[in-house]
Amino acid sequence: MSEPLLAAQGLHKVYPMGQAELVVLRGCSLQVAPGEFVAIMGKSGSGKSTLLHILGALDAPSRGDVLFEGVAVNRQTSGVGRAADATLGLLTRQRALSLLLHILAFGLLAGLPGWLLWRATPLPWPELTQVLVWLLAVLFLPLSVTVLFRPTLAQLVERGRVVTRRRVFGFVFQFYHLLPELNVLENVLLPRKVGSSSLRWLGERAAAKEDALRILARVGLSERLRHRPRELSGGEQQRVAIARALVHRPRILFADEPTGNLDAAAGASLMKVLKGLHAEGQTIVMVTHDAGIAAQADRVLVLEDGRLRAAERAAATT
Amino acid sequence: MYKLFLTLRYLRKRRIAYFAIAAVLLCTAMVLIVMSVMGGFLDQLKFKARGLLGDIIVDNRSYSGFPLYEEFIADVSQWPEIAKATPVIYSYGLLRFQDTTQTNMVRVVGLRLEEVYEVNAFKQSLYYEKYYPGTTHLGEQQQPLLGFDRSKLIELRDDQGQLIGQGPQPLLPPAYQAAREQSAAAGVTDDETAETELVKICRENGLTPLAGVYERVDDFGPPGLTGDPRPGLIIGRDIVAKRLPDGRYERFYPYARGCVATLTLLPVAESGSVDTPVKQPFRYVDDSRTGIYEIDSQHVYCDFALLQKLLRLDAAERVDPQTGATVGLIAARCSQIQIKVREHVNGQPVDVKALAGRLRDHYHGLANDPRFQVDGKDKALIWTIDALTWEQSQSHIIAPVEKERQLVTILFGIISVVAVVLVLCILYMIVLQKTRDIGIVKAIGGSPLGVACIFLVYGAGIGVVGSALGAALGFYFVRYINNVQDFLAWAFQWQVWDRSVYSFDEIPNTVRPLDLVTVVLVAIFLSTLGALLAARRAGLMQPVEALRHE
Repeated sequence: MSEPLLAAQGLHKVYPMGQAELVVLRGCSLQVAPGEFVAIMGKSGSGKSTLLHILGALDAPSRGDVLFEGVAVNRQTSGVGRAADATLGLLTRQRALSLLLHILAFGLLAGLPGWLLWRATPLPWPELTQVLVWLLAVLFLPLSVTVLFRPTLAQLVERGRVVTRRRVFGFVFQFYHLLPELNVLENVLLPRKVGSSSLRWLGERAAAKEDALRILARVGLSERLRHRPRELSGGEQQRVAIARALVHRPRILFADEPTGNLDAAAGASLMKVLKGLHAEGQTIVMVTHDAGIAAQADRVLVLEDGRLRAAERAAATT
Repeated sequence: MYKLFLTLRYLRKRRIAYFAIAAVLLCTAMVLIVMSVMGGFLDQLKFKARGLLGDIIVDNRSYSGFPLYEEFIADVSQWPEIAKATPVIYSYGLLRFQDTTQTNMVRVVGLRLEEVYEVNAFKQSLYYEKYYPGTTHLGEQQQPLLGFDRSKLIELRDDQGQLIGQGPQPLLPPAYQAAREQSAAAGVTDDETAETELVKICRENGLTPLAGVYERVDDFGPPGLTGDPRPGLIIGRDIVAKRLPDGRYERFYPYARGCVATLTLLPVAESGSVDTPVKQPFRYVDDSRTGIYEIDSQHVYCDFALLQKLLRLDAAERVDPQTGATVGLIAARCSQIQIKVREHVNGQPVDVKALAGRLRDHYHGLANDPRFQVDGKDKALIWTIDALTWEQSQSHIIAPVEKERQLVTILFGIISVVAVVLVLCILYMIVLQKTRDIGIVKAIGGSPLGVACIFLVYGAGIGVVGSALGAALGFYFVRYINNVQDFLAWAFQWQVWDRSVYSFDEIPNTVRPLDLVTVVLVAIFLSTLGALLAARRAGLMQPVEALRHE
């Protein structure tokens, strides 16, 4: 096997339930090679979705590591997350200093000009000071928010995962999870918008739209660009979700029961799309309880008692 | 970019946000209206107080007055900052119009009319001087009578416009008639007096309408002047006319221009004791309306020199009461000096407050000036003199109104906190409703701060839209507040602003740009503040938990 794109090592997930604990994962390990299509099967409540969420950096394991290209996603030493982690780490280490600097900055921004204006005689408009202070207070608000939302260590790790999700992972959910206020094209473009700064977005908007239209054409939704999710069938909504997951060219596509909410025909159509993507080299990790669907993957893993094991091909195909 | 995009979409699609916008709108409009009306009220009060007094007032707050005013005026008139200075006497008296039994307690002001015109805005407060320029003076004068030109007949019509006959054309004595023609030619029309029958007739027949009330000659004879010459007296408008709810004045016929009014004055001896009352008949030559009811209902104005003489404040020999021998001179006195200050000297703005201090010091210095022989009593009067800016001198009127304005603004500001709470509740509700959407945005890479910003910008957006609409509503409401008031009076007989009670004709209807900007900024700030809690919750939400939210 070539160098794995994604690897999980001894993943544990424990949910505290009051006095007791619910152990969902008990040391799951797996490796996914580039371009591989892996299906994870299991009974309802076996922890398939939890495992997928952890692999996709949507959730944190209680123990164990998820490695993307050999670097731990959760520890945020990955290439993608390193820069963000360094910045955020600095904030954490120097939290007190940051707060002090913040107060000083506000003092300089609002206090000094205000004081100078106050002292200046004769003042052209005495009320000008008040307006200036208010104006600066409004400008100060975003700074205050950064202090208010100054992340805890856990949140820092979460922010590291954010960068990973934004850049290298794509998700398809069982219940589509499209934003009802946006139309098809806007839903598909959203990850690109989220991943771009305002200025960058102005530069790459046209290219992003072109990509979105191409992907939507590929999933057969070119005629439904302006439709809202509620105006689409389940299968169409799921195809929009796939288009949204692909628009930022993710290295790995995670699919959580993508056919679970569809009829047989729509499910088959969707699997055709996924297989087509796989054929073009897209790495896919899919969770399903349907053995027939799972059989279409390169490799099938079964989650049982919180551990993963390779499925027998015969069992998987039955 | 996605934050603004989603915020704008939520603003459009989530109708519940309209309630928050409405709350911000109403609060913004409410505070703006209150600030504007109260601010306008205060501004008018200041403007009128200043117009009546000049820039600096030199006063010793004594009924006995103070000496050396002519010398002081002569000195300071040389100063480059001083444009004009004039002495004024204040006293009290009883006013009674001839042929009436009504007596009014009045404050009598002695002034040099031409000088006062240069020092403050007193001239603009005069009624007859406005419509008959140059005819108001405080010297001796007779009463002008309204006559008729029998050679020119005019048509007389009733209320329905029906012709009811013909009559001779009304005419005033030549000086008065010419003055009226002159002001009418300049487009000065009397819009402050309730229309009299005579005015109506003149207007309907293309004649220059008469302004005010004049005694008429008998038998439609020619106009003329009548009666003994008497000194002129300017009387506060609210003494001689009744203010109507529509802001105009109903002029009473008994108070025709030039009629005799007698003042009874109480002179104060140099010793400070009250002397025998003196009576002086005057002719009512004009009336003054400063816009401050307390002044217009109590003040009358006569010639400075005459009042000084009547009150025995003029220069006189000092007689020893024991021997009857002349032992010196009593200096002429006045009660106040009003000073107009130049705005700039050598291109630099004049510091009025500092100048007032210098004027006071200069006056105190006169007490020991070797040029003048000032005895101990006069020195005592001089040392009590103070020089105040017009704002300082009127602080007893202005300060309470200013405090009232601040108080009302704060009270309405506190009420506006309701809007903040409403924004908080609505946004919190929206965050709960959009929990799954928050999970989706996070799943595709939205950061905690980014997601929080969606709701912060949402709050700010509510503030921007609400305050912009509120500012527009407030602005137009204030602008047309008098029309609204008139409509309420017309539709429900509800006279909110009774012009017969308040000093001002109209509710102040100017929005100061600074107030507008301040209110809008504060509204946006508070609205964003209201969104903080909801934004924090959204930002800290775990994506998996949010996605599982039902």
